Amino acid sequence: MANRSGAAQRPNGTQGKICQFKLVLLGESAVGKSSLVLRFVKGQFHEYQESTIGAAFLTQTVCLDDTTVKFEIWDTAGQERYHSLAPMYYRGAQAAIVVYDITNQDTFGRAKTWVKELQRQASPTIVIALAGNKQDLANKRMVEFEEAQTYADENGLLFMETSAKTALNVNDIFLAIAKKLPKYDQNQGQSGQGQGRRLAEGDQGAKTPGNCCK
Amino acid sequence: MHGRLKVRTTEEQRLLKEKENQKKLVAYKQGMAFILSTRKKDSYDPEAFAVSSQILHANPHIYTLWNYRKESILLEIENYKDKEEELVKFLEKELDFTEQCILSSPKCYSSWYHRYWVLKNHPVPNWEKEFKLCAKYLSVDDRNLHCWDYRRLILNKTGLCLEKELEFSTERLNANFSNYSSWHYRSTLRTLDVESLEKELNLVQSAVFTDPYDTSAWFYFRWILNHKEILEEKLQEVLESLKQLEELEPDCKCILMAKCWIMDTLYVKDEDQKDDINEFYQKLKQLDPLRKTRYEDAIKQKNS
Amino acid sequence: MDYDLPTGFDLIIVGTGVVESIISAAASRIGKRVLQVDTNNYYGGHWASFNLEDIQNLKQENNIDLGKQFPKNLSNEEDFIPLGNKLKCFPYFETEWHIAEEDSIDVLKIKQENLNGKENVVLDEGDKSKLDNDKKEHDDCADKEEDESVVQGEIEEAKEVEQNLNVSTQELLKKDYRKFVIDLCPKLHFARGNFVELLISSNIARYAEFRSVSRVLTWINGNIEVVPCSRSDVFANNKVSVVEKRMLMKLLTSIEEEEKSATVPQNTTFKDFLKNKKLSSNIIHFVLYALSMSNDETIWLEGMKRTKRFLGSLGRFGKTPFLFSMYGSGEITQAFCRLSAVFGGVFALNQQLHGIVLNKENRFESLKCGKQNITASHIVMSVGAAPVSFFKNPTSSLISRAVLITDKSLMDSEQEHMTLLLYPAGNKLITILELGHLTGTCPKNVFLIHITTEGSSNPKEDLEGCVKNLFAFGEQDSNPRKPKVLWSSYFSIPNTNELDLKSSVPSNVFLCPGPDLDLDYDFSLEKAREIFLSIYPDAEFLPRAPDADEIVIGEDPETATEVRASNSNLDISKDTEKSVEEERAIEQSSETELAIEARASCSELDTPSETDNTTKDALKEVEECAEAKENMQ
Repeated sequence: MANRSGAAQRPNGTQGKICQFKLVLLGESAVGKSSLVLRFVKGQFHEYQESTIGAAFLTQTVCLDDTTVKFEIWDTAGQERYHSLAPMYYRGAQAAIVVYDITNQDTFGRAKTWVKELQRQASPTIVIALAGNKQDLANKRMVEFEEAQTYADENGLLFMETSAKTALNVNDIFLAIAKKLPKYDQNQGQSGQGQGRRLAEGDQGAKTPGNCCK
Repeated sequence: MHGRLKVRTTEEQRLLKEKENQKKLVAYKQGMAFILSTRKKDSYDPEAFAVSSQILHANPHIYTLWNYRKESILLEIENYKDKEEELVKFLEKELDFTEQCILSSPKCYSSWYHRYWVLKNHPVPNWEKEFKLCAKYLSVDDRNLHCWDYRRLILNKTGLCLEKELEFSTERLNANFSNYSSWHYRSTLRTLDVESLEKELNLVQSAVFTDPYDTSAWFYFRWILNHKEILEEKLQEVLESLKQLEELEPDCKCILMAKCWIMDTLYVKDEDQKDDINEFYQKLKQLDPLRKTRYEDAIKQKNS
Repeated sequence: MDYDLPTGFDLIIVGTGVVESIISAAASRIGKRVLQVDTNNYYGGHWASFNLEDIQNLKQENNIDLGKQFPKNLSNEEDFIPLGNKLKCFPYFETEWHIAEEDSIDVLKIKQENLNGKENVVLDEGDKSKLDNDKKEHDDCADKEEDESVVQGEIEEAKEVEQNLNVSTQELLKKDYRKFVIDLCPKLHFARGNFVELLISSNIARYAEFRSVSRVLTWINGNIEVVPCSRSDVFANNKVSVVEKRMLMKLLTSIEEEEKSATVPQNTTFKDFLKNKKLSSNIIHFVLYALSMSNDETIWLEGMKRTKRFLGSLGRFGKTPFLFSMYGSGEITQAFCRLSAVFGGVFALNQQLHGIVLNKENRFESLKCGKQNITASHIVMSVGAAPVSFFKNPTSSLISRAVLITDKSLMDSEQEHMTLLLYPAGNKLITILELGHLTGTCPKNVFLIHITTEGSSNPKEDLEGCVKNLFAFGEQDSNPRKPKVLWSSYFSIPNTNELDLKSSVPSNVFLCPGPDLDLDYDFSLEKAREIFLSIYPDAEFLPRAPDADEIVIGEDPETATEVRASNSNLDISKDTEKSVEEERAIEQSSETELAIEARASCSELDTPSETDNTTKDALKEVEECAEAKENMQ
């Protein structure tokens, strides 16, 4: 797996912080959202990716100095196609990548709408990155780099042109997001999410007899 | 077939796991070899120190590595002789590290002890933080004897603040009173006077009424009764309430035992009560045939 | 960009309520092509949640717009049955503010003075770092985002201080409107109930986060008291006598045998049953109204069953038997919809649904959606979307609801973030949920109250007595302990769980009931399972969905070769040999190389393990309590 970001190499020798963040992907259908994630998480690219990948979300870890950043990456699962993305999708998201296709001007327009939607629906502190995907098809370019860069600057977004196919800037964009996110240590009991309880298999809860009558 | 959904079989998962374990084994061996090679040199080696962190975080039970760390820390303390600020920074980092190890294995002697050791060598130890740490870990597992011990160690260092420790003990009991450690801890805090004895009796009565079959509370009950300072009228009152309890739970031997204890104290020479006590022991013999001879012995002593 | 919907499906689902969404997830999960549509532009139907602004808009939209969602005057080439009926509406809906729109200058001045008295040091000296420290101590981790966003401007400071003062105006609450998640139909989950088991076994739980209900209260003799739920609660409770403690514990621990050995007539009420046990009136109240959530008429066997359900869910998560889904119950339908989408389900909200076409055999053939005609072998629809002709008698009983925003908790305590209060009122039991900001449903310093009971007249009349006893409106109420109501909403929802949803319905059409009065989702889950199994009798209902790391996308060279290797009997001993070799290599290599290698390979060791999550979760809870406690002081 070529593009694994590698495990922690910590200069100071002590265990660093571990932060977990929910990152959501947004953008018009077929701009390459799933492909970007697959490239980032698995180092793979498939020309004819089916639109669904059947995973709730994928996770991938990147390391920054003394911090391990674990991304929980949510894909739209097609719910964006007929304007049916549930509010749950944005819930607790600390980062978002809004993707458009540089060969399709309409998708850039839609990306702007998604940014607005995020500003309306998501947490006010969410870190948003704009990704102009399919950079490998630059000869068919319909969206100019400068145009997107200007828009990103005006709206305080991170911006990169990416290619899931050639892996250009894929790790970089996630790394850039990781750098911009505030770091709370999960080991200290503060994880990225809303601080609720996650239910899991085999979780029978506290073993203390004090809690049950029997 | 690209992009096709396929779920890994359990066999595949097992193999992946095994492969991972093999990798870990190699890593562990490499790491240990490296640390031991630098240990001979008698100087602090940040690289080796870092490797020991990594290994200990995965397995804090390797006391050799904790000892290695102590050696290194002592060297660093020497190094930072006139730079307290930097020393504190270094030691705080070490404390953070021990907490991470405690979090991943809360029942590891070495990490708790190492933490205490670091604090002892700390120029400005924050003991208050340690109390909070104990409270936190005992809330998660109130039978973690490492943590109870650690709290006592810290108390030895700081001196006892009775009010605070009593409150802490009550909190622990409210969370779960079926716990010998919590009752025992309470019993070590102070010598009891008439007033506090009464309060403790009320507390422990609450416990035995809630669950008369719970032996840890009776244990404390008996310990309280052993105090000669209890007023006779209070004993009478408790005896009455035990009678009520017995009516609700006629088959509970602990209640009978407790009645015997009280009556033994109250009526040392009262011949009338002797028969009652005899009767209780007879009943106990039936309820608890395993300890039959023990009760017979008690009857003999009574009547001799 | 607008896309046309595909037109051929295995299953069409109209509506996004709980029952519909569970069926949708289950069908997609076994590979069926599912289309789920809703006429609303939000998920959930009568199970939806809204923010403070949207719920007020709902009031205007409601009742009138059935025609817009289900337009009937389509070209009459084809014979179709129009969709939609009045069960989709709210028979009653109102919202009202009980505080001033904005502060008059005078009030502000007074506030400012109070403020100066209170946080003198901070304001006079402008010592920002002190404020920051205070803030850090008091702030909850859940509100991290706020922490970050405070760019420490003076405006922010003022706002902060104002919030601390606990005095609210409409203006202030409206500013935070998005922080409210107001459920039309809030539900709790029994920690060991069927629904929680399903969430876990199907792996849907990973989409949601939960909070345990922190305490159960009841209204008894004109007061609010804590209900001792667990053994520790019984021990720690100082309002009941020691003898009562024994009575209660004895009843709770022997309920199983009691049920078998009891020799009482079948129609004995639970209340009489308890009275015959010679329990004190306190204990009867706790068991009857709180633990079993029965009313005066509940039959004893039912009461026993309910008590057992309560007790059986203790000790799994938190101190009470209940869980609540963070950000409101509306998340639950969305979680099932997401699972459906992840497995290929197609979702379209805000659709115009004209009607359905039936064939000669009176079977469903297609759905007229917008300009499209969509076919499927089966259709499932929420009861409100169904054609009127599908009901013999489309009237239903009602659920009366009130939602209040209040300025403080019903009963101050160390952990006031999530309370269930059971309020017996004659033959009815009123359930009240108080949600604090840690549930993700309201901002700090206010509480969201959900009141639910069986409807008999309009909700305001049904709940008037209870609301007056517990809450204060304006300055009229003399009791300063009562929480003050800042905003209120009263509405009714049709309760359809007694309706006949089968006899007049074509054989490949299935109707899903809406919300019911139960505290949990068990009724809905059973209905969903029933419908799913009617359509797909041999299929598995929501088997576990795989985790990401179990999914192989494209080829998986790593495991593929591994499996081959192991199948051809090359066993691990080879690997062990290799590691011995490596060890030898280690001895020979130079020290620097060693260091680099050791660091690199040891980093494999310290990837954060997932196993200690239980400890972490438990710690998280402990910290929460500690924080809540600090906030109190």
